[in-house]
Amino acid sequence: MFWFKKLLPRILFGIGIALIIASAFATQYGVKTSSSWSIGYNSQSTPAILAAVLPTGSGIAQINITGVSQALYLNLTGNPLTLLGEAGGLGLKTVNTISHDDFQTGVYYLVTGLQGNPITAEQAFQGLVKNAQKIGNSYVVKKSLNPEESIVVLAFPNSSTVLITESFKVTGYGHISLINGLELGLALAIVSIIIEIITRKR
Amino acid sequence: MSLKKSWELALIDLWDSLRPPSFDIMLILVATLSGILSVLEPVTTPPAVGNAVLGAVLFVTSLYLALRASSDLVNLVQTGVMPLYLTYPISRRNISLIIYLTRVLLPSIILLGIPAIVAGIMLYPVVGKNISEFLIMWIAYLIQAQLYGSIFILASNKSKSTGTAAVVSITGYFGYTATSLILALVGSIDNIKILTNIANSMGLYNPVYDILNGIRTPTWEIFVVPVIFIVLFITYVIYFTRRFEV
Repeated sequence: MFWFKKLLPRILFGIGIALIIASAFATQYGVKTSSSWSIGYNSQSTPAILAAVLPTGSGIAQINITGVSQALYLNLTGNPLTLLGEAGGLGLKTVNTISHDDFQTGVYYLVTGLQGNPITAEQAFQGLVKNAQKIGNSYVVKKSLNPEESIVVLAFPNSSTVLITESFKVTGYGHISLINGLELGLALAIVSIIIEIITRKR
Repeated sequence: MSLKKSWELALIDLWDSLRPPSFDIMLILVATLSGILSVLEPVTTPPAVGNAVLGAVLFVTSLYLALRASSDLVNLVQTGVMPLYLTYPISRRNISLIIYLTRVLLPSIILLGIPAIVAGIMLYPVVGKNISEFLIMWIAYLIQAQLYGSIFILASNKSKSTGTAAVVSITGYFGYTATSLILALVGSIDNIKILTNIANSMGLYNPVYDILNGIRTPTWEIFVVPVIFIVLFITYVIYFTRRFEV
């Protein structure tokens, strides 16, 4: 059976095969650059709602909330889930947490209710937060996020059901095209065989 | 003469260490794995590409090193190849360095380097933003592999059985990573900062990643792995030079 004896052709062949398989995989199952998630959240027993977008990479996050009287937002660096623990220390209890993980877009969406005194919740975030923009009946927050950053919105419901739409669009990402990957992979595999044949003849 | 003989010995042992087809299978496996991992989730910075790809590759590399640098080395002693190596007109210290080079350093450079090249080609628009940051992450993973490799090679020098050497090496590797995980978990649950910091420092790539991303991290974290590696490496060279018997 023919197999390589020299190290260089073995390495080139390995890279070539890997590029062919990875390019084909990327086309079929690779990254999606945008995603969104919507939920009708039952807010009857929750005076405040916290909605968050937690991406792994950079991109533009948007949160639309309908059915609330006020919405505040803040940018966080690191894991914003630690914020929930700190909220617990202020006497606020998180209830009815609903999340959605979109692996292909690399984003984790979270909505949770905060029980306790809504004024405490508002005061806890004061100084850190900004007011969300109101467009029609909805409050909208749209922010560009760097890696390790996330966005959290604190909203105060005025209806029994709050409609929340969270979306994320990846920026700064790109990978080799299927054609280029296949061509480069195939070229490397052929070159490795040619090098092996030449070195054997010598 | 000594340099020529050292080169000759290095080539002979390197052929054994990287012999086909097992190395080729491993190479194609890690290269393909890295290509697939690089496009599974959208990583948008060069250090994040390094972490997404090299974490899994380091695991496979460590297992390969555990076989080649540990049980295979004992096998060389048992089959009488090592006594032949020791008859070369080269100092024992040089032989120990050559064996480290061919059993640990070069295989880990190739097994971590090829996947990094594949990931770099697959994600060239991302890696191209800052190749030096990607290289720094790669070096951090390479030093981490040297730490594991020096544990393995030391275990094989002390052990006279291939089975014992393999078990001690793999136990040492999993013990080290499990300790890091447990410390991180306990530190996170009980909010004990020092435990989280120690766990973080046990993988050199963690503080390096944090520094590259502008996340504040204690400076000492970056020295833990290199210092342990240097201590283990010097111990190996001294043991091989003075006390190693075949």
